[in-house]
Amino acid sequence: MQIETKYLGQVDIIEENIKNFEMGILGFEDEHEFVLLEIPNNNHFRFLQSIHTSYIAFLVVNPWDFFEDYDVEIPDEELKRLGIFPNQEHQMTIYNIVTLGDTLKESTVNLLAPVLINLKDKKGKQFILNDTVYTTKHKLFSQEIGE
Amino acid sequence: MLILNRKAGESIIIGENIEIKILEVVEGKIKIGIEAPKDVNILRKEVQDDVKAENKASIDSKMNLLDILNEV
Repeated sequence: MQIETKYLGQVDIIEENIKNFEMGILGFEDEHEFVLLEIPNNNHFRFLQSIHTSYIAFLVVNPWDFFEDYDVEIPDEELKRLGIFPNQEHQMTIYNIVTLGDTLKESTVNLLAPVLINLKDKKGKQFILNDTVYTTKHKLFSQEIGE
Repeated sequence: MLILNRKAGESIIIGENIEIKILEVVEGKIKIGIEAPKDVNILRKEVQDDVKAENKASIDSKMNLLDILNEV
């Protein structure tokens, strides 16, 4: 099926790849169906694109590409809600949403509320970490020394 | 909105298995104890509001987004 995307024009998607977000994304509770889209010539970023509303597309990263020590603890009850039971954690993938600045150096990533996706059952949810040091705004390149 | 008056040491029960207890009131600050099943998420509302606001900010259009990404 073809969908209209925010940045990549019309894109052909495979229906089996649609991820169902029962609760939506926080602030976008009415958007339930998303796809992950690769960005041509760029391995670091992807879009989490609503299949129904073209302007709703989140730029996401694999947090460990940027924050080696990122420590995420998801309660078992939360995992079960996503259909992930003990010893099935490999079915889950985690992305974090980027807020792009005028340059990449000024861009931030939300480490407080990762997006969890059950790859097998195609279910997703944004989860706010409990008792955490993380916030919604970490510089993508915090490890680098400024100019 | 249901409004109840409670004093320190008093509780309210929500549903079958959630108890919210007022532990202490000192100078306008209220210390609350919550007992709830593990599958109930408990959050400070401002934390959730912060995440919603950040999500909204993150989809603000940057039409040259693909150019910015290709800086790396």
